[in-house]
Parts: sequence; C-alpha cells; structure tokens
Amino acid sequence: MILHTADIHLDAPFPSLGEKEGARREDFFKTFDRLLTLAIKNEVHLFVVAGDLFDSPRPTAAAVSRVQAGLKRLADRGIVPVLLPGTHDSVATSDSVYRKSDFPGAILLDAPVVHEPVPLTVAGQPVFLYGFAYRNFLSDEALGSLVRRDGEGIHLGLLHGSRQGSPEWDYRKKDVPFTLPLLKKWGLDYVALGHYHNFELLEDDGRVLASYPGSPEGKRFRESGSRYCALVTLEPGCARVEKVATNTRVLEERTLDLSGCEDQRQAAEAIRAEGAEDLLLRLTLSGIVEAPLDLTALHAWCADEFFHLEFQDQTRLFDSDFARRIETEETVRGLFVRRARTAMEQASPAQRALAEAAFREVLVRFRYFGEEAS
Amino acid sequence: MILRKLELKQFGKFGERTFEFRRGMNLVTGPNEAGKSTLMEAIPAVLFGVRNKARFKPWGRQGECTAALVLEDRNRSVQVERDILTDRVVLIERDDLYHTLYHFEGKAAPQGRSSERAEYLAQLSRLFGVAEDDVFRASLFFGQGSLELSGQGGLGAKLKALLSGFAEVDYDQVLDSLNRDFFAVTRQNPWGKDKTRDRDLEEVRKELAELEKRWFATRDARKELAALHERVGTLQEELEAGRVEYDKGERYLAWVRKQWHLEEKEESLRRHFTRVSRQTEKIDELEKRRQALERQIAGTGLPREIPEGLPLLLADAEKIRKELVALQGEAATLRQQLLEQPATPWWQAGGLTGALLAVGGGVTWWRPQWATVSLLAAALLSAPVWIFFLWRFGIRRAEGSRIKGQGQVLERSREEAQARLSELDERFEKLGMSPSAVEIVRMQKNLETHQQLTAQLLEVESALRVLENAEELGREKEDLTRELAVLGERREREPSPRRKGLLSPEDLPEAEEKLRALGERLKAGEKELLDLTRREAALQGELADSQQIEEEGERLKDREQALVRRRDVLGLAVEWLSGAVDEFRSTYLERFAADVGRNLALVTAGAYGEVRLDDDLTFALRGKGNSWQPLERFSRGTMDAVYFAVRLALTRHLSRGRHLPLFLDDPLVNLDRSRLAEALTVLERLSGEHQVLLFSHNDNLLRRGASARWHVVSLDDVKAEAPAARERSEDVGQLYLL
Repeated sequence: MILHTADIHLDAPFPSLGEKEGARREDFFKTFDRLLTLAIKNEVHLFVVAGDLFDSPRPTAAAVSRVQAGLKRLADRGIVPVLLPGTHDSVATSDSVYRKSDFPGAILLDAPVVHEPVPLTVAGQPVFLYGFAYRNFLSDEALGSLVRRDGEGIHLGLLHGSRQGSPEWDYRKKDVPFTLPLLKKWGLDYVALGHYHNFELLEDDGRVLASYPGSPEGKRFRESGSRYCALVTLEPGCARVEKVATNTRVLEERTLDLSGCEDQRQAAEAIRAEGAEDLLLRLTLSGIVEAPLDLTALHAWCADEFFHLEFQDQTRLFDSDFARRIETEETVRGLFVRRARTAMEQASPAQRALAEAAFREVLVRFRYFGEEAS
Repeated sequence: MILRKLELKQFGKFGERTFEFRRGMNLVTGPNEAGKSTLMEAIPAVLFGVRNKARFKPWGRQGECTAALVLEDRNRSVQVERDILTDRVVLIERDDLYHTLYHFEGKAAPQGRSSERAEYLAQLSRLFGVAEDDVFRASLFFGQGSLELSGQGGLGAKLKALLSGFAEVDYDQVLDSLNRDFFAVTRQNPWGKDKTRDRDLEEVRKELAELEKRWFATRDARKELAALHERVGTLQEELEAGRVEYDKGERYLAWVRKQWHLEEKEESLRRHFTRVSRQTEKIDELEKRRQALERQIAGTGLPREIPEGLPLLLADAEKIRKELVALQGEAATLRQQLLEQPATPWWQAGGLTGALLAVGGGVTWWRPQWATVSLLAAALLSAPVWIFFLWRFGIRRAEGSRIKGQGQVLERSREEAQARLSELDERFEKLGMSPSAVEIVRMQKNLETHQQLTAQLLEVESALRVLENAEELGREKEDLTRELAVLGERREREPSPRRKGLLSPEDLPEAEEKLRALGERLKAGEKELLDLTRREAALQGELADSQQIEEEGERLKDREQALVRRRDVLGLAVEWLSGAVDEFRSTYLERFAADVGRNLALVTAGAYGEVRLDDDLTFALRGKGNSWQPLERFSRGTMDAVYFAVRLALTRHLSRGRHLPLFLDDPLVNLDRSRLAEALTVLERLSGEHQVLLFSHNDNLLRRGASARWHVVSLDDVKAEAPAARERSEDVGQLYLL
C-alpha cells in the first residue's frame, strides 16, 4: 500500500498574491501535513514522493526542518518515505537540499542511473525500488536503466519525467521524455510518476501501469479544482489506484457575464456572489455592460469575498446603449465616441479588444473626473 | 424645466408673496419700482445667494428674509429655499409621486468654500447645468439693459470652458490621468521626447533581458557541460593511458637504472673484489715471502733478532774459522797432497798384471802357441810397471812424511783455533745460543744475507702492515663473493620489462627526460581534470537554476505582455481622446458660432445668419458687401440681436436638453418696432421649448401678451397675499405659437 504523491513544490514563491503570499505558502505546508495524515490513517507502507518535493534546490531551513519532522513522523510509525529529486529540487547542484540535509528514515534515490534497484522488505514482502535522480540532459540516457531486474517481489519504479502524448506535453517543458510503450517495456509492477501537475491514470489493456498524481495543491491557475494524491494498492503484476483529494484551497478560472449591468454596484454584487473563502479565482468578465467599470474599485469592493481575486476584463462597453447615447452628443464625449466608432469599424478583430479596452479606460475616467448627464 | 413657483418672504419690498408661472410665455408686468427687477433678482438670489445681504433686507423690518423657488420637470420637481441672511439652503428633489429623491440642507454662501456648498453646487449643476452666478447671468438670465456679454476676464474663460465642454468633465484631467498611467507603464513618449526615468515596461524588459542572458548562459552552460563532460571523459581516459604508460616507463627506467646500478655495483664489487683479491694475493705473496724470508732467516741459523755481540762473535768466529779453514785448507791441501800421492795403485799394478795375465791367458787360450810369448810379454810388461810403481811409491812416502809434518803444525794451530772457538762458544752461550760449529759458520756466512733478509723482511712486514689484515680481507672477500652472487641472482630474476634491450646509459638521461616530460603532462592533465570537474560542478549548479529562470521568465513575459497591452490601450485612448478634444476645441467656437448664427437668423428673420467668434469672444458679423466687420460697427439693435442669439445659444448649450427657462429683464428696449416684433416672434417660438419669463413695463407687450394668451403676472397688486392658487393645472406642452 503506497501513498504516491509528487510536485508538492514546498516553499514556492507567489509574488502575484501580494500580502497573501505567506498564507498561500502555509497552505502548501498544510497540504503536506494532510498527505502525511492520510498516509498514517490509511496505514500505508510507503510514502512515495516522485520529485519536486521542494520548489527549488535551496529551500529555506524552516521548510527543510518541517519536512524532516514530517517524514520522521512517518518513519516512527513504520512508514518508509521514498524520495526522488526532481527538476525543481534537482540534486545536480553541490548545495542541493538532498546533499546538504538528511532525511532520517527516508530512502533517497539520488543515483544518476539505476545500477541495482534498492531492496527493502515491506510487510514481509521484498520490494525493489527503481529510480534515478534528474541531472539535466544526462538523464535522457538513464531511462533504460529502469528495466526490471530479477527478483521475487514487487518492483516499484519512480520517475520524474514528461510523457509524450499527455495533455500537458504541449505547454510544459519536456524533461526526461518517455512514452507509454517504453514504460510498459520496463515491466515494472507500477511506476510512480511526477512532473505533470494534473492527475492522469495510465492504463493499458485494463491494467494500471502508472499514474501522475498531479500537484496536491494547485500552484498555478491551470491546476484548477480538486487536487489529488494516489493511494496505490500494489501486488506483483497488479496495481489499484484510488485518488484522494488533498487540497487546502481551490484555484479556478471562471467567466462571468455582466451584460446589462448598469452600474458598478450591480457588477460588484454579481462578482461577490461567486466568492468563497478558500477560492483563488481568475474571473473573466464578459458581456455588454451599460456603465464603464472601474476595475480597481471593483476589485477593492469584491476582493474580501475571496482568498484571491484576479480580473480579466473582456466586457464590452462600446456596443452598449450608454455609448450610443453619448455618441450623438455635440460634445467632446460625443466626438470621442464617434472617433472610437470609426476606429472600431476599421479595426481587425485582434485590435477590437484593444479598442474596447481603450474605450473603457476613457469612459471610466469621464465618470471619475466628471458627472454623467442622465 | 420650468419655474413653477417663486415664494418670497420679506424679500426686498415684498412681504410674503408667492408667484406662480406656467409653461410658455410669462409676462411679469408693472410700473417701475414695482419690484420687477427685485423679483427677477430673487431667482439668482435663491440659487446662488447674495453677497450684499443688505440689498434685499426688508426695509425697516427685522427677522428673516427668505425666498424659495420650485422648478418642475417632466418627472420631478426641485425646491430650493434659502435664508438670504444666513445662507442656509434647503434643496429637495422629488419625483412625480412626491417622493423625496434627494434632500439637501446646509450652508451655501455665495463665496464660501465649504464642502456643503460644494455639494449644493454639484446638485445645481446636476439638475440645471448651471452652478455659477456669472454663468447664469451670461446665459439664461438676460439682465437689465444690454444683452452684451462681457467676454473679458474670468467670465470669458468660464464661458469658453463651458462651451468647450469642460464644465462637466475636465478633459484635461482625464488626459492627464491617461498620460500619467501611460508613463507609469513606459518611458517612451510617442508624442514627443522620451521621459528620463525607466518605467515598468522598461524595467520588466531589462529584467527579461537579464534573464535571457542568464538563460543563454545556462544554455551555453548546458553545452559547455556536455562538452566538458566529454572532455572529462576523454581526459580521464588519456590520463589513465598516460598513467599506465608512465608507470610502465617508470618501471622500465627504474629497472634499467637498477640494472645499471646493479651492473655498476657489480662492477665496483668486482673491482673491489679484484682489488681485494689482488691485495689478498699480495698479502699472500708477501706472507709467503715473509715466511720464505723467515725460513731463510731461520735458515741462516741466526736467530731472528741478532744479538748485539753476535756479529763480532761471528766475525771472530769467522776469523777463526777462516783460520781454521785456512788451516783446514792447508791441511786439506796437505792431505790432498797426501792423497794426491796416489796410492800405490797396487791394484793398478795388480790390475794391470792381472790384465796382462788375463790377456796372456786369453791369448794362450786362444792361441796356445803364443802361450809363452804372451806370458813373457806379460811379464815384461809388468815389470816396468812395477818399477814405476815402486819409484812412485817411494816419492810419495817422502812427500807424505813432509806433509805429515806440516800437518802436525797445522794441527797445533788448529787446536789453538779450536780452543778459541770453544771460548767463543762460551760467549755464544752467553748470548743464549749454542750453535754448533756448522751453525756458526753458517751464521757467519749468513750474517750478511741475514741482514739483507732482515731488511727485506722488515720491508715486507711493513708492507704487510700497510695492507689490511688478511683476515678482514678474507671476510670482505667472502662478503663480496656473496654479494656478487646475490647480484647475479637478482639480475637473473628480473627480466627486462620491455622487449627492447637495455638502454645504454647515454640514452638513459634522454629517456628520463622524456619520462619526466610525460610526468609533467600527466600532472598538468590531472590539474586540468580537477579544474574541469570543479567547473562541471559549478555548471551543474547554474543549470539547476534553469528551472527557476524559466519560471521567472514566463512570469516576466506575461507581465511584459500585460504591460504592452496596457500601454497600447492607454495610447489608443489618449490618441482618440486628445483627437476628440482637439477637434472639439478647434471647432467649438465655430460650432457655437454656427449655433449663434442659426439663432441670429431666427431673430433677425434671416437678415444676418452668420457670425464669427474669436478666441477672446469678440464677434464679427458678415455685413454688407460680404465682409466681416466687428460687431461694434453695427447698430445697437443688431448688436442686441446678436447677443440675444449668443445667450440663447449659450443657454441651449448649457441646458443640453433640459430646456431651461429664460429670464429676460426688459431686454428689447433697443429694438425698433419691426425688430421687436421679430424678437417677440422668436421668443414665442422659443417658448415652445423654453419657458420664457419677460419682465417689462412696456404696455405693448402687455397688450400682446394678453392677446396671445401669455401668462401675465401683474405687480400692481403687490399687496395681494393670496397664494398662487390659480391655475395649478399642468400646462403640459402648451405652445403659444403666433
């Protein structure tokens, strides 16, 4: 029985969260603790971290000691932590955390190539661990060393790499690339994967070969919704994977249609309705609004309903009745709107968004600096 | 928007009086000093307050002085009430169901600065579009006398501001704020010189450039690492091979050297050995010689050490001996002589006789005939012989006795000598020797030899002393032999590690030189290896950062994109807005002039239709002959018409759809009849859209008003306290068209 997790990225920085950065970082540690508790509660035998436990090869001493304490907790209960250095916390540097600090009770697979699998005995059964530590381009050749060796028992592999064909393949780096057929060829009972941050179960002919547990706490906005770790029940030749939710907070990307909003307050109400305390939301505002929205004010109004709120403004003001009314005026405003109209008509679709934004900017300021005639 | 009601309490000459008005044309008439102007002035007094509070204070009365007005619109009404003396204002806005939409109460002094006043004025602006007294009087409040606008001073600027649309929104401020935000993003100024300080975009781009450098550095580092890795690999191999070579070479050279060394050693040993051997030989020789000498010396009979008196003794002995010898010699000679005396060779004779007999016998036997002859012969022959012999015999005997006699003498001498000899013997014994005579003689003889020998012996002995101890030499020799044997063994045991034969000692330095060079190269290679390994580790470190660099790069790129977009948006906004503002600015006066022209055409029934307006608000009119003349050149009436048109245009501009009431205080005095008629026509037409309040004493107007169903308020009945209860009905959309 294994708790398989990866890509925890402890101590990652979040400069875009401003004041909430500290709290967010703490979330990651909370998730780590949750993972440990899950491991203890489910009485797993191995706690496998398939790479990127830390976000950098030089995490702070506080982070390191928390991890050490956590792993020791596991070790004291007879759960063996198995660590694999990844791409972020790589072991290649001489001052890497894995070289400088120990993790007592844990097995660290830091060889560049698997000469011989690490044997251990788990609940009376022999288990062989296969894993090599990422060392930049040198690791591409090490893939071949994961092939199964002789020996009775369970052969468990750990790999921090990129699967060709995965949905994340296109927009992530391709370190240590491999394919599913290659993985199958190794003939291991289960491969604990890491590097890609979304849960993915890899099967072939009904048999579970490997899985990416994904990041247990979402780091960036593409890692939305629930995050998981994998509880794997492993027998020679067969593996069953159960995914367990682990995240402390939720990241989401949503779109909100604010069509018809006539003033800022209405918009704010609509936005606040989406709020939740543990939600980090990237909200795309869309629709044709009837009043120019001052995003800064809007954010200030709504931000306390969320843990973190980001706007992407795609509302359209130009096609609103409001704009049409102004267009007819013989005033500067009217002239401005007429100019904008001419420009809009000539603009390509790509430039339209820009033009809309410019239009909004000006009208917001009109409202801010003057009065609106009704 | 119309003025519905005007309530006065102790305002000027009025006690408590309420005036009501209707849509369309209203005429307030009455003789001079009836209070028309006061009434008219009440309106701005309520709205804006009065500076000179004494002006409207009731004559001779104390207490309050308040005025209120009610304005109505399609769906709301606004009531403004002011205590003229304290400037406390109440403004209430109600909707058509009489619900309060807005309520203001506060102090709004005409020249105050409080925020209450600001709010009040903001509400005025919102509701009427006019919040300032001078603007009010320049527009819808056609005050007494001339309609002329004084375009100078602050009013001109204000009017321009109003006209240019800056009243409701300060576009300059908007542009400023856009510019500010623009330049917060970037320092590049597309409309002029760039700013000096770097802004967000530049900073981000700089950071990106840095990051890119670092990225390229890591990429280079990666390449370098790969190359290094290879180099390290090859270098290690080379070093391995080199070291093997070196070891071999070293071993070989060591062997060679050892061989040579051994050989040298052997040589030297051998030489040593030879020397030792030679020495031993020499020693042996010398020893032998010594022994020989000793033997010889011993052979001399003399003792090794010759005692002191010996030579003398020996000399004496010699002498004696010599004597003896001489004696002996003599004796010998005598004896010799004696002996020489041949013995009668009796036998000879006998022999001969025998022989002869024999012969005879023989012959006899042989030839018996000859027996006698032969016997005779024999006898004959023998006789001489026997004679001879006898003669000889006698001589000899005589000789002999002589000799004997001599001999005796000699004997006596000899005995003497013997006696001396025995004496010498004693002396010898004293010396511890008891040599025999022979020995003595021998000694004597050998004395010289002995001396020689001794000398030689001494030589030899001294030579021997110089040379080493024979024993030691022997041991040495043994050792050397053993060593040589060992050496020989060793040389056999270690075969040449190279196929090649042994290097000659001349080649050896060269070979050593080569080896040393190889060793140096190896050391250099090892150092290089160390440096390379260190560099490798450093590069690995740099590369580990590449992950962070990439993430940060992404973040920065996103930020750059966002900034660029914002910049473009703001740039576009500025472009449009400033374009609109410029266009408007450059044309508002024209627009306004066009408006004025339209109004003028209306007022003058087409006589004049075009007006030009300068920046300082001076008008020019196209006069006869199609040339533009300044307005002053024209008649009063025309000027008034123009100003009327101006005010109208201004009012329309300010009201912007609100259709504010127009207040005219006897403005048409200067118009001639036809002009007046035209003007009134215009007013009536206007009254369709704008409520018009005319204040005049002109009876013609009164008559006209009566016939045209204007709403007339007469100030004759000033004392009438009746509240305006008449005609509250809505006169919606009543048009008085002529």
